[in-house]
Amino acid sequence: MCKEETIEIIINEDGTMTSVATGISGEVTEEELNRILGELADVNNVVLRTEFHEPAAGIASGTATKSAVNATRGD
Amino acid sequence: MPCARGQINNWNWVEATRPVTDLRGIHLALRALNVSWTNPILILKEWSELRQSLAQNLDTHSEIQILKSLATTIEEILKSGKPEITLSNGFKLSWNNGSYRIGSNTGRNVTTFSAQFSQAYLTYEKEISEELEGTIKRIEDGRSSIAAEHTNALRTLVENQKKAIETAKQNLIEERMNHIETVGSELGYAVRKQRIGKKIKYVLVRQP
Repeated sequence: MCKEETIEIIINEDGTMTSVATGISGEVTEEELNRILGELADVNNVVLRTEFHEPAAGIASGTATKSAVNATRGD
Repeated sequence: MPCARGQINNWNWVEATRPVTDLRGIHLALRALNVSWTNPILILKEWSELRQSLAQNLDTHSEIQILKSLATTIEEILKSGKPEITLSNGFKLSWNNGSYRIGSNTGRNVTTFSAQFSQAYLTYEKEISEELEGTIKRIEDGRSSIAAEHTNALRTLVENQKKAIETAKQNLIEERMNHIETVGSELGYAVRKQRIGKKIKYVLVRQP
């Protein structure tokens, strides 16, 4: 079964936004955020962050990838 | 009929780096950049002049009158809504999803002007906010020494300033919420909303 694509968007008190995406690769995340937030913020200048969570010792499962994007306006 | 070949009719819009919501900040930022409005809103000019007057040494009576007028102009500015702003340098500011964005249909570099404008707007947004804090502090500090009429004028100004800031913020947040809910659903995401204190968190989930 495919992993779910999840995008979390937080609207802060001052109206700025922060977004984190999981289950989506970095480039696709930027594309997807542009589709969702492109009319609200300049998503082209976001910093893509990729975190690789190493499996804990003794666990033989594969690595999970998390891509995070700060789509904050300004800051 | 004139040939339109080569003419650029499409508007190219750029979102400001920070939400641009306050007409007062827009007025001051544009003035600092030596850009004028082709359709000026007179109440903004009046507000700006009153604001400058307040910085001068005034007797109490004159100051009270200016404070009252300033509070009234802020209310009037709020009634102006979100007009489209055409600028003398060919750019345009247009309301979109809770904030103004900058556009051009002349092919000129909108990104450069947008960055300059955003920086100037941010400076004045901060200045307006500091003025509000200063007025609040003045009321608190002068509780025993300022006459009731003077305090009332200061209080009304504070209320109207707060209302202007809150209204803009509320519009911004509500329009952003609507946008995320609508576009998220259209793109096939299950959209879940959660309030965390004063923040609003959306979780959009989709099977690839």
